[in-house]
Amino acid sequence: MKLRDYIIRRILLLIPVLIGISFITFFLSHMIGDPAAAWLGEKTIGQEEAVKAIRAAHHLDDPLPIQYFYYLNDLAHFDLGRTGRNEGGRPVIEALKDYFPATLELAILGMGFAIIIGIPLGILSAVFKDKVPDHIVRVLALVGVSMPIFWLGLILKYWFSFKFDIFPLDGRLPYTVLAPPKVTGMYTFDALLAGQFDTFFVALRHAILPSFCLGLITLAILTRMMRSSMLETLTQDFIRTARAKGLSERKVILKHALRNALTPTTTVAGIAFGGLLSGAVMTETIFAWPGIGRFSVKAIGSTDFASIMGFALLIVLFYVLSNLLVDILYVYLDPRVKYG
Amino acid sequence: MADVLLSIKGLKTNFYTYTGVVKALDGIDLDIYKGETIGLVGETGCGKSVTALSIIRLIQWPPGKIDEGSITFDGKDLLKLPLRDMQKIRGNNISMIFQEPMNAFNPVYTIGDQIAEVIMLHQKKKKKEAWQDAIEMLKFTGIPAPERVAKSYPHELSGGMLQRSMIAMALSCKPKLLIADEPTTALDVTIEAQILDLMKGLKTTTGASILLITHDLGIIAEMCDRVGVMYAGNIVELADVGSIYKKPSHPYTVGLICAIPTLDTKHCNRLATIPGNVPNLIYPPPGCRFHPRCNKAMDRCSKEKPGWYKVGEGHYVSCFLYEGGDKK
Amino acid sequence: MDKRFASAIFVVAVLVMAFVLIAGCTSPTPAPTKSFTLVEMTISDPPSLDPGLEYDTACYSNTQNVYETLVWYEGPDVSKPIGLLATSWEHNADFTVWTFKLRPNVTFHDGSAFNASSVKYTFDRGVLMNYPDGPWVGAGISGLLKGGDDWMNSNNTEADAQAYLANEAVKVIDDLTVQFTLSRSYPDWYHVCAFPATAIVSQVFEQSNMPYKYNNWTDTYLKEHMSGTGPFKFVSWAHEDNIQFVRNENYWKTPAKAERVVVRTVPDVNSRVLAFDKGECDISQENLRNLPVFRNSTGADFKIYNDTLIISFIGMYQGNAPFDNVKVRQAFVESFDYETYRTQVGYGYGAFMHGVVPRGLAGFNENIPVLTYNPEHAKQLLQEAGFNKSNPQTIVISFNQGNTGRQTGCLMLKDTVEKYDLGITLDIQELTWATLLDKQKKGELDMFFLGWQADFPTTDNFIGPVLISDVYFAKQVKYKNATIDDLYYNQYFTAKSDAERKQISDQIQMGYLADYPYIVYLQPAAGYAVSKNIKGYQWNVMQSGFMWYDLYK
Ligand SMILES: Nc1ncnc2c1ncn2[C@@H]1O[C@H](COP(=O)(O)OP(=O)(O)OP(=O)(O)O)[C@@H](O)[C@H]1O
Ligand SMILES: [Mg+2]
Repeated sequence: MKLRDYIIRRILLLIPVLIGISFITFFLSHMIGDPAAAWLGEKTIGQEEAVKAIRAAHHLDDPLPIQYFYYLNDLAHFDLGRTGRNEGGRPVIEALKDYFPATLELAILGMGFAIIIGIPLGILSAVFKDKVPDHIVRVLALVGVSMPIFWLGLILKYWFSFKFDIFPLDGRLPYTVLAPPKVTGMYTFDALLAGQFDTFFVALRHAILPSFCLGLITLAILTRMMRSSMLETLTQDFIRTARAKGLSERKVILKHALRNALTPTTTVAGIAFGGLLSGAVMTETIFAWPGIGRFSVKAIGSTDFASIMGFALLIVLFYVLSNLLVDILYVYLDPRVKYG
Repeated sequence: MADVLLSIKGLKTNFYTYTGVVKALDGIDLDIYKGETIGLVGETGCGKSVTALSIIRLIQWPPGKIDEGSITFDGKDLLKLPLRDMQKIRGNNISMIFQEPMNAFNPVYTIGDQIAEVIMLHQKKKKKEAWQDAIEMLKFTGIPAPERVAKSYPHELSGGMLQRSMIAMALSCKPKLLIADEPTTALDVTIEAQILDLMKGLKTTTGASILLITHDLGIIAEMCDRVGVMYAGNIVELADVGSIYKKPSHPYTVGLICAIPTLDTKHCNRLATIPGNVPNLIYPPPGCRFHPRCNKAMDRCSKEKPGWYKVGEGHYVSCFLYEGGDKK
Repeated sequence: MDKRFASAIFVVAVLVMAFVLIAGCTSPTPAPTKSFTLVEMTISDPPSLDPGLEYDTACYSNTQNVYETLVWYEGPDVSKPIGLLATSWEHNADFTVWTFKLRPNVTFHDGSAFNASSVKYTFDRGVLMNYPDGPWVGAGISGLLKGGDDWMNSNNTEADAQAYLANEAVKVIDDLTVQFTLSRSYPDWYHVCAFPATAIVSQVFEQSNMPYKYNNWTDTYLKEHMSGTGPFKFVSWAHEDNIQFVRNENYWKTPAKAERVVVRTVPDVNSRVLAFDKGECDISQENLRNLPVFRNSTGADFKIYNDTLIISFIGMYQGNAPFDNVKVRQAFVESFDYETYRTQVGYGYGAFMHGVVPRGLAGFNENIPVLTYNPEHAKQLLQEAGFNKSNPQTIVISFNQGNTGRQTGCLMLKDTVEKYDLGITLDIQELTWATLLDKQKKGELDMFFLGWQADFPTTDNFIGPVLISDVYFAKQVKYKNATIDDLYYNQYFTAKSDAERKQISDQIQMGYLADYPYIVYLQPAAGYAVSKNIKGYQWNVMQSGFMWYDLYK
């Protein structure tokens, strides 16, 4: 099958997945309580009139399946509905457009950290199995997976920003710097696209601590994964062949072992990416990063169904897309794998 | 006799495992002459592969380590060479083909890439040229569509095709010594015959020496000039192929040959199997390692290690029964 | 393993770190602005910036610096109203018609002139948008204007809107005179005109960009744009990130000292403290529970503000047993350990309540006794009410998820009541708002925590919702005292003098004491943090946060 056909097929397959997810989230979220009451909050307790008006305006008195039909119909027109009072009732799409790029940027950079640091560390650890570098890396990886993000974030801020003023405390840009023209919504990328290198560096500087904080667990997981698959690969016959050919150890590891060992690590990275997107709340809270995680928690806190569902659908979409990317990468990494 | 190409003296290779030190090679002595095909036989676990890997220093530490001995090649002791120099010899002067062709190639690169790689490495050729050479080599090993095979990935080829490719790869730098560790064990019989034919032809066309490892005495008879019989980390008998079948001398060799029903068994009392089990190499028997299983064992066999004794022209045995003969 | 390869890997690792550090060090640090930029940090983003739509301090804390109301107060004392956009006002004998003289030569940030039609536009806009969740409905302002109730109860058609407008509830007398006609006597109307939702917006600005529609509040131009008459002009809003303002150089008073204001959303309190200590934050509104986090701060002072417009209380549902029995209610009122609660949850801050009107308002009377903790007497009352060990009963008490202060309150009450050993079990339920309100509506909750933050510093804003049978809280717990209802509806608003009105409010509050409808436990204190080098802050109860105009370094 051609790559293009494969991608098209996979994307078409996305539609039933998204409908399924919308179905589940719709019915689950509508079991939590009365959305109209949730809209009102403490101040307007007992305002029956207001509750009635809101119920009427949002079809809330119709049976659930009918409400779901309304939702699907809107969805088909790329309308995700309106946010709750927390977001001022603006369209969910707009809120997602505001917050998602910020998180995506963190997740991409966090994944970058995880890959650029985690994979070499894993290789190092495997190559020096049971020696000092291996012990150091393994302890670091253990610390990495078990570190509470909240604590890590504050420690990073305290040392790298407060004590030694290397990175800014929080935020995406200093308020003195204008955001680059919006293309992707990710400041670093947009700054590069616009050729504003000063802005790029400032934005990157802001993103480093939070993305490291976000990516650390993934980094540790990739390190461990890389170590074990590297060790596994190094016992394979073809490694002995490569050595018997007279290749240097560096070539043996970086050319022959690495590519084979990357396959399982890639799978894990693909799955972890979805996790980075949906699990950024803590990082976003500590680093005052205006991302989708905070939006989703606020939406859940105020039982804002449209927002919760918009969030869920978007995350699922990117989850599936990142897995698709992994599957495509697979074909490049391992010729035994075919599309299909 | 002809010139010595490679000379192994007192080679001891040990594996330091959690359960103890596996004394896998217990002082191997072996000369390989230029242009000959020498076989190495013995049961599983006797140390044939370890011998082969020790020659090109591919014993991995941990757990394995060559503790004693020397391997002289081209006037240099391979065991003392810096790793970089050793890497220049591997695949170039001494190359190796392995038992499982399916696993011996890297699954993610094409055959052509993998052959060209070794050519580029040792002959400093450009990629394109190396690729051309690789195709030549494939053609040389009798592969019908070498261009197509070169572009194939290992999983797309049959075992026989892969082993031919492996041979092509091993020969691509015109090595002086080709070590073949059970090259046909994983193949079915018709393919085995083709590969053996190919290897037989090689000797005449390339003049390379071949160290052929197998546990199939039939293959030895068909292919080799000389043969060494290994038992538990020792070479116990070394002879021309003719004399070993005519006059097997070491009790182990006798047992080995008598275990083959198709061979002429006039030396055998009966169709025999060797009693007992292969020894544990962590706690090997003292003296001659074969003595616990030997029907002719004497008292001293459990105390001293026998030396080499000559029983015929070019025929040596490591057994006290032949102590009267000339020392090697 | 060859050493070269090992070193190659180390080099990669070092390069990555180096790149990271270089990115950190060499990038241009934004030049510090010489003039004074004020940085405020907030816990959450405002829902929107339309003061006529949002009923939310997170909104007003921004809008009150951009828009101005007709009335404001002299310093912290809300008993001293002064004109802001108005210069003076007068009312007729029965407090139904109010005439305001307006400040001349004031312009909006968009350049248009402030005048009587701006006021009419703002008030009619608030009423006509009729946002059920908004302040005009919620705080009862729409209902106070003549014809407002009819409009709210109508189908909100164009004709209905014209009918409302025909009442001329807000009437332009001349360019600088505007007249309000109320639906009933309301002696405190000028306080309404200090409420941030009634801040005057620019008609020209909104109408030329995107006119609002009747009964349609989903999209208004003012949600994301502002043009007022105040000391600061709106610049930009990056949601959940920051909102930026610059000083209004053409302000009708002396321009503010801060040239620029940045309001950043920083939800984590530890992060705000770090920012204060690093000198990157000047002010923030803080929940009192963050007090301990600020104890070690080197950059910020934690300030306590006592005169809030808030009362905290626990409702007892009187629609069924056991709280339909006044003895049981009294017993629970006497089972709450007010002192301990204030010490533990309020860090010793907050005032005990004399009646239901908090300190600082006209209706406050220190002679009304506070509720007291008296477990012996409470136990006796419960016994009298028929509780005993052999007849175990469960009482459900609930609070909204995450409110740890209220949780502590529940636990304290549970501890006390269950020690009576009268077979009473207190079932504590931590619920989300949605579920809580849902269950409350169905009468499934016996007790629930309530909090009321008044909109105006007026006595009726407490007496009404809390004690009057058909208003919010009383309706919710099914409390009805006919005498109180009568005093409130028929005498309080039409009282001839302030003294007379005060006497009626005293009478109402004394009357309520015998009914024990709530455990009114505290007028909680509020907190805010101020960087050590910021000066000039002051506070009055009508502020929804800092007035940036006052602040300087
Ligand atoms: N990596 C290792 N760790 C521990 N022991 C090893 C290792 N490799 C080989 N040995 C031991 O060395 C001895 C010789 O093994 P070797 O592989 O040379 O046998 P072989 O003669 O090639 O057998 P086969 O016919 O099965 O290939 C065996 O006893 C084996 O257990
Ligand atoms: Mg072997």
